[in-house]
Amino acid sequence: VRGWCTDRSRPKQRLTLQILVNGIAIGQVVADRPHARLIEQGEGDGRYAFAMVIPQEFRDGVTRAVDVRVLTPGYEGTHLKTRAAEFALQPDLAIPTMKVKSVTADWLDGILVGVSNRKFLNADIWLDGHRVPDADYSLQWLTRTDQAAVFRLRLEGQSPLNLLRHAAIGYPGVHEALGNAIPLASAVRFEIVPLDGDAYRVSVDPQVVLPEGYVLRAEASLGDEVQHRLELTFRRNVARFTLPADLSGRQMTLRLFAPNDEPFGSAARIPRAGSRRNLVQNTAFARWSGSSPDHWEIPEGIERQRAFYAFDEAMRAQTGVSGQTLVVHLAGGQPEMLLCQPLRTAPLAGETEFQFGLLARASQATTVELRLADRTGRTVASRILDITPQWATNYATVAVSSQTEAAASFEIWTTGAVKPEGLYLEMAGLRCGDESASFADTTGERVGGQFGENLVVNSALQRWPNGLSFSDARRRFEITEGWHFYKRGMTSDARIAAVPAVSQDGSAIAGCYAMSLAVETVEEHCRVEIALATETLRGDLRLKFWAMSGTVFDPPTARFDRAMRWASIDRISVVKRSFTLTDGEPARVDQIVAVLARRVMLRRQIEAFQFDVSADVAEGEDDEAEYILLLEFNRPVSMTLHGLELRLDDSREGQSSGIVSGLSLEDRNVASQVPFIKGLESWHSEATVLPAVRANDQTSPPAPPQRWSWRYSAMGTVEVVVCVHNAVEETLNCLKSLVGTTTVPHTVHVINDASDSDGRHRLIQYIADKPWMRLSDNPENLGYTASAHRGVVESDADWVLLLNSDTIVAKGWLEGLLDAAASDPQVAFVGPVSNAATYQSVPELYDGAGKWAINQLPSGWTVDDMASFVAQHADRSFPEAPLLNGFCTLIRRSVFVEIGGLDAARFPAGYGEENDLCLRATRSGHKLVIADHVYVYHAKSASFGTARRQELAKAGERTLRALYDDVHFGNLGRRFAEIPALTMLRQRVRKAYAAPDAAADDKP
Amino acid sequence: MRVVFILPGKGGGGGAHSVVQESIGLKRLGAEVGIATTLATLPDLGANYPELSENGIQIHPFAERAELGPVLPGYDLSCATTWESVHVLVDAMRSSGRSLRAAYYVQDYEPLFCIPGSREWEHARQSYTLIPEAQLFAKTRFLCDVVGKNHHKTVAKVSASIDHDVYFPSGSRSNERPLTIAAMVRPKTPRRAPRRTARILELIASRYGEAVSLISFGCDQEDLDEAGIRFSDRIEHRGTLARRGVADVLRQADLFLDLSDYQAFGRTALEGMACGCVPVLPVFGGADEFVRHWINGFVVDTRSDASIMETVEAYLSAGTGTHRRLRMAALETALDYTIEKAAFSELKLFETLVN
Repeated sequence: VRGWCTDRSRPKQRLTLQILVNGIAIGQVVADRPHARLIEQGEGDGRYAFAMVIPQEFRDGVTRAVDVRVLTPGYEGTHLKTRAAEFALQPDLAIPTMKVKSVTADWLDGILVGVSNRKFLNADIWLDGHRVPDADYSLQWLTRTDQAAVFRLRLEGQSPLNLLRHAAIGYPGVHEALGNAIPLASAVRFEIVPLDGDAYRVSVDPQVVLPEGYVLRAEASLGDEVQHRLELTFRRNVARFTLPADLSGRQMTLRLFAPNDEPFGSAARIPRAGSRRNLVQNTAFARWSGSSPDHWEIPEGIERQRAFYAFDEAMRAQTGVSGQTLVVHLAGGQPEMLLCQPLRTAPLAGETEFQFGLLARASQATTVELRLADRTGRTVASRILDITPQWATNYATVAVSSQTEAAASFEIWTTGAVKPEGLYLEMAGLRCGDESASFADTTGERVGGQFGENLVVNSALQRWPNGLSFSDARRRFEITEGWHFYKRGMTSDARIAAVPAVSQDGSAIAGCYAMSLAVETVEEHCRVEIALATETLRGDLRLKFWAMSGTVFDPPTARFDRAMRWASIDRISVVKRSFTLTDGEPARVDQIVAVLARRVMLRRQIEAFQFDVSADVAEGEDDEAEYILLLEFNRPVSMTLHGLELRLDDSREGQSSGIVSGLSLEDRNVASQVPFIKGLESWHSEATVLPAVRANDQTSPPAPPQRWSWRYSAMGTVEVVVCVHNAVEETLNCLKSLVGTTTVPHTVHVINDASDSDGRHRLIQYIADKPWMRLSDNPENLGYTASAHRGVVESDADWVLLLNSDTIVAKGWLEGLLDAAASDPQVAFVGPVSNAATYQSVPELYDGAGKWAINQLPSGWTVDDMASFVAQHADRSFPEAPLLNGFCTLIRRSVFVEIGGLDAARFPAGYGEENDLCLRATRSGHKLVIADHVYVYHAKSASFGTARRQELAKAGERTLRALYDDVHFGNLGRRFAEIPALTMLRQRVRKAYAAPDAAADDKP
Repeated sequence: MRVVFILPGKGGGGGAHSVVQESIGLKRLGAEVGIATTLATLPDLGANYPELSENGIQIHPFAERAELGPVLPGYDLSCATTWESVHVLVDAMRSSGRSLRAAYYVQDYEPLFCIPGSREWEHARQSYTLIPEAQLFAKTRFLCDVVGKNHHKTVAKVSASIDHDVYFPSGSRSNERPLTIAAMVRPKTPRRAPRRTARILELIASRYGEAVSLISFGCDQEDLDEAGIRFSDRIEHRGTLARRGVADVLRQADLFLDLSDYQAFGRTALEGMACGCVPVLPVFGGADEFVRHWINGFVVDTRSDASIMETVEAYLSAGTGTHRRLRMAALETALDYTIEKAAFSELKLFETLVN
């Protein structure tokens, strides 16, 4: 229902209309669409049109009345004038549907089918449920026919992929009538192919080009129940995944979700894992080198030939045949071997039986024997299969036994029951594996191998600059853009037409053209030359097209009539065309790159063809060369062709300038043997294999034996947490001092806060032979406070020692801290004294400039010496402190958790966070004490330079003061500085500094 | 101790190097050592290894395998060095008509060199068990394990060696010059992944330009042409190099790329370490015998270009301190692989076999 409606006295008003069928409202629509004629006539701004699709339920051929009335208040009771008050729609009249044709980085092409092009108003775009204003997008109609229109959509600020996920498109009114428009996402299709084991490959409809590394979330479901969630990373439009072993055998579906959790594409069935598992490769003869199929050995003297047969689509889908066949000649007399192949693995361990299968035909009915032989050539299993002149599949089941486990090769033998004159056997598919009916061979697929873009120029045959139907007598002329006809000898005129492409059921494919070609007499040969959009051609080629014999012309001559029934493309090849100057005239030189097929027979029904070959041509110096696909004909022809695709997979061979994605071994000999050599399992892992870390790295001395003491076991468990951001040297020194001195059983958790790879690997190496140490990585630099908080919270120890990475501990340090902790059950945190730890420093608190002192050790003293001196001269009174420096703090984890831990939001860089924590602890009734007899050396800030540190410290202090405006920090500091036990200790240490040699005598 | 090695090849490969230099090492340890080789390859062997005759190694050229029949009984032990030489040894032992003590120095898992199912492949597979009483030995745990698991033979482990007279570091390294990366490209040996190596070199060239110099070696220009490998101007191809030429390149280079599919041992990388060049080696195979990732070199999954580039980029972006540390660690590691040590480990094994 379509029309327009406006109130001329209020041109800015848009009226809301209700559509009624037989008096029943079927929907509402706003008359606000642009209308070409109204715009032209200057009727307001011309945006008064509307349209609505009659729902499917009224498409039953019954005559009904239609009525449109205005709903906008003030116009109640107004009905629009209708040109025809009644309608009858046939059920087969299509409701508009939409398909995505291709998605590139810049636009999205699609086809809208089932709309008339006459008085075509526009298409509407919805984004996240809202209609996009016309000004915000551009919709270009590339071609329109009676039933279909190809459009190109660009939306400002939206990537085509985003459109694919969010947008919906519809003919005006479709949205209102059907409740929703057609979501573009539903147009994306996936194909899932099982690989070896529990692995699968998902590929996206090649027309939609996903960006490299695009990640989609996926759910594998059994019925409605989600069984397994995974993330798929697409590279070259392909992703791989594995299912847990217990699921892979079941009937699962896979549903994909875009990053916004909207379904992406429709759900796809996951084929059963291993269902195409063959013990032999290239079972459908899809890959050839020269005149022999890859992987198969054919004894010398056996006549062999590569041939093609166009199986119908159902047969292809059902059996997975490639369309290429192997023809061998069976001689009479003694049984002889026709072909054989070493098995990839012995018959499936754990299976009770497996099957031989053969899809073949022969010039006369005969039999062949399929055998499994062991290494010595002895037959361990065999079955005889019948072959008839018609294509037929025969299966035979073989039980797995101890004998068959020795099988090493699969062989096909004649049975001797051949007439003396011999006969021909044509094989299209073989199986030696489990019960599925497919011959498709996925085992030869290379990891990461994927065919790229269609190289055929004008493959959709959308542009016909010379007309849609003509005949031409010239030797060479353009058929359509990028496609040329060429003939030799007294060949008759070629007749060309663009005809609607038809699908297998005979119906026209909307918006899709086919090229029809008829040549009545061919003396030498003629050919169609199709330009390829590529500059290099090395790798594997895949050619696909749909073709049939006969055309719309159907000329009446008898001779031609025969050719119409059966047409043949005599050769399909790719050539490299370069131009040279011969006698001053430019001459074309064609060099064959690859012959894709010979004698492809076309039947009256449209059929799909696919051929895979390897092209391997060295790149020449000539920059002028171009690549051309040739279809050659040696006899009269009348044929129709569409959907021509030639794609290149150059991932394996050739030197591309970029990184080759995926994992592949270069040497085929190695790659093909890896599956059956024990001990090389990791060589074909799906994931990148990381270097193993070995203990007792020869470049660092072996760890000294740890001597543990269980004296403190009553205190509970202890974990040391060290947060590291680069500064690996200091960290290693710290860890080494831990190893050398600590006797209290403990674990060490090193949190690597995004150090560089060098540092990270040295840490891994260092702790490899220390099972009580572990390393965990922050995915990104979280900052000190968040890392430290994580370390304490994630620990399950009773006590966590938060230790800066630039510290060195000495003998008895942890015992001392635990002694202090045990002094009072109220103690929450314990800190030691140090050379550089604000109020905990000894001997000086401040340096000459009034800044916090970094006391150097007296000359000739080690950290151990100083620690012994402190241990000997301290009061051991474990004084209570108002705050603690965070460089080394023993934390009662329960208290830490209770008061909420470190505040990474306010103190991200780690300056002031410990004071905040201490204040919260004391306010909730806990105590902080100093283990005045423990000395831990602090090298001072491995993490930041001095200037940056001061800046951070100031920022931390500001935050702290703002947070605790009731606390007088000056008083707090004074109290801390004047703790008697520490003041006295400082004096004693000062003496030692003044006369280090004399004090050294006090060293125990 | 009298031992004869069967060396049918003409030398130049990693396996032959081992045999020749360790023969001389054994000789210095007091053993009497012979090398049996075919008449056809004798001149090449002499040209490649003049030190053989200088060190009093007895050479036994033969045209027919049977000619070795009378030679072998003159030694306490006959040692095969490749799958082919195992077959030579069997025929020679047969013609001598006596039972002889045999050993097989497994230098690689050689079925991987052959087309599966081919005659050579069968022979390579048979070589490990063809002489049931022969003692197998190899220089990496990887080889011991693979042969052991697949052929149910115990393989003894001996030490590996490199020639420190040829492979030694250069004294001065200027910080001014750009970092240098060297790689061996051998189109005729697919397991050495020539295409991958070429591809990675080009990638480095395009990403780093003048900041990195790139050197390739290991084959003649014709071999590259034949394989369709065309290097851009940024990569200097030095052609086929003799040992001293290789050592010069390795001394010049900071990083050596061995991007093979796998490495049974990785001799050139270790030689590079002796020259102060930090190696990148495949994770598959036996290179982990001497390389520790980020400690004295790098180990990567060479199947993945991305992994390789990640490692190369991490090295190039690391500071001079890290470069120096890696280089020193590499030098230190290489010093553990002396001819003396390797020869002695073999001598010890041979003594237990003979006595």
